Amino acid sequence: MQVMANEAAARRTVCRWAWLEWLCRLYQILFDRPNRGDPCVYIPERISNRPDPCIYDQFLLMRLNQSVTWDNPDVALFLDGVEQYTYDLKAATKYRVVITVHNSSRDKAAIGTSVDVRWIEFGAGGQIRHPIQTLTANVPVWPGVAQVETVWETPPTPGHYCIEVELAHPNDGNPANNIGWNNTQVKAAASQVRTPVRIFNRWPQGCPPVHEGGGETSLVRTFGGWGVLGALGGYSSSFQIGHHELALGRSGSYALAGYLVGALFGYAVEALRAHSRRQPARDRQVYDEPPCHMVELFVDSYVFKDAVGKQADPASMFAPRPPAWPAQVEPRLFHFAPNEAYRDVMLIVDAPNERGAPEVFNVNAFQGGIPAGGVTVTVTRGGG
Amino acid sequence: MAGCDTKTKEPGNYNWSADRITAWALGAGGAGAAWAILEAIAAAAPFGWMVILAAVLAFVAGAGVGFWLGNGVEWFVRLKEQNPKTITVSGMVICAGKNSGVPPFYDNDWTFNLAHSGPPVDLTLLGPNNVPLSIGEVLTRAAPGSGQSQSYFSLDPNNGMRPVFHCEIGSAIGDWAAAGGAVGSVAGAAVGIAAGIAACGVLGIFTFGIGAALCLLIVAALAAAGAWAGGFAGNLVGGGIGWLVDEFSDFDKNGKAITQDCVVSLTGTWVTDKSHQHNEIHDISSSQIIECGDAIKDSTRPQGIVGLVGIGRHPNGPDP
Repeated sequence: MQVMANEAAARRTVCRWAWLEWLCRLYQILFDRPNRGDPCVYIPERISNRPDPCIYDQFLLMRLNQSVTWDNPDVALFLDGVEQYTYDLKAATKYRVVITVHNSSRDKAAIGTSVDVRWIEFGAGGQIRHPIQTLTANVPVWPGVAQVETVWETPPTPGHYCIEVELAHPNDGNPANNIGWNNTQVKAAASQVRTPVRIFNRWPQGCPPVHEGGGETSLVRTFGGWGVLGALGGYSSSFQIGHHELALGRSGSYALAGYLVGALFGYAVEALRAHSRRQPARDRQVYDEPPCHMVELFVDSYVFKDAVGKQADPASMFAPRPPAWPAQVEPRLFHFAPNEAYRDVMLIVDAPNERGAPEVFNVNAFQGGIPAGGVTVTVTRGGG
Repeated sequence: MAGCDTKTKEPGNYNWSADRITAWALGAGGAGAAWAILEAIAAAAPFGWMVILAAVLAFVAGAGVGFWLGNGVEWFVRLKEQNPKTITVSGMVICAGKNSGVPPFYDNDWTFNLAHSGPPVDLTLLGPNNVPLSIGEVLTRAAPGSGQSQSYFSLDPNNGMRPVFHCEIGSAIGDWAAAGGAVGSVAGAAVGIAAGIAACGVLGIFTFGIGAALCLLIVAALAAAGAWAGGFAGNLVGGGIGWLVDEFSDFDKNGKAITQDCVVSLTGTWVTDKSHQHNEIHDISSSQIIECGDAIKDSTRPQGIVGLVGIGRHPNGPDP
């Protein structure tokens, strides 16, 4: 690969006349071919070398079966310079929201990354987004990061809010790592802490209908079958027994007309046939997948300890941590009724009575087997 | 360099397109033979070996046009886009290759087989997350308008028939060669027929009229030669243009290399490839190397490495 890079560098120095660049490049492609034969497969730059703006994306990590926290390390709220939790925000108050954007590419900076900041109702799976501001981040190559910030005035009614950040870049190398949530709450100690968590229905109408299979209007049969039949018919109607010369001109025009008529007729027949064979999407259970209205909830006490580069060890950073104290969600599994918008479940934690440090409890929701969201609840104790 | 082979798990038909192109060739060949026989009847030519030979040659001519035309049509209609159109997956590359060679025998695409299951990592759908979609559906759901009731698993014959997800970067060589072959064969056949008619006319002047059967034989022979030669020539010219397009689109050669044993994330267009009755990503719009070799094989949490790169705590690409 190094040889290839050197040859490319040599090419660039020769092609210096911009007005003749395409001609110069053509010459070099035709007569100045680089040596090949590397044992590896070379992938063109436009595909293998893109910027990748990214954020702590819980949905990506859940897809990879890794532990997550909803106390997003890349989203911070400040009031008068002091970092705040999103669980205890004051109504109609201006907060400074600071977002850290990363870039996993060592080669391409993510210039002009769009950073959409929104708030959604506390809970998992909320679909109604309230825009705060769209920012622009110029993220340098890894390990550089960019911090962008905005001022958000909380709604006039008190409540818990989730901050959602979504990144977008026209040349993004991985669009699946662009959404991060910051969704936290704190509960004071009690012998049993009960926290309601609202689970929103992502698909109240059921699985989005996807037509699959069937439905092909066969061009092959249209032009290779019906058209040819029409051509033969047209041709047959043109010739006369005993005609002693090759009547290509006349019979050809008959054949052509017959072909077109046959193809048009055939297309109509094929379209009708295809329509009759169209079928709706099969139920997801055909693929051994849970139905779209089924929700599963999991609780753990995982804490994310941020690290970068050689210090970032996945074995320790994503090591699962079971609930620190007896904890459960009731119900742990349920099915949404048709058109049901949300359901409130209860996180129940049996906190110890003695004084001590607080503990976190992450509630992670999957709907239809797909990550739907979650919350992180911190339970404090008297001495915590 | 060889591309990555797959076989389609039965009852899927790996040779679906090849069968269709054969049907094109046989159908068009039959039409050619029928044309010759009808012309012979129209000209009241005596039915003998010359007419039979003319019919055979007309069959060859028609088969040539049908083969190249069918190859072009099937090439451009074989990929049916899914809904959602763009997906991102991560997985282990167990085969990486470029299908280099002369088209139509080689399409010159970049090809990859990602292992369906570990070790070290399982094939994982990373996105999009706004639709209910699983990796099982990615592999077997047939695309709208594909004409299939389902798609079938791909197996890698060079890796013990291991189930794989096949992904490709399309080369312009295949597209241009398919179009060139179709245009070339039609043009070649037309030129052959015109040349045959002209030859009949010239021979008729010098011989005070040649027989209709002989004339038919000449026309059919030149049409057959024109169809096949034109198809090959158009295919080669098209392939050459496609090669130039590929070279222009990556002139600086600043890309990266992928080898077997790399874990990658690939983003691209999710399609049903009707020609093999399986699903694949075609074209890959972005590839990222997560890690290669022992660094990921020996990890106790290989999917965690994919996660670390995903959230920017680790750069993509193998560790230096």
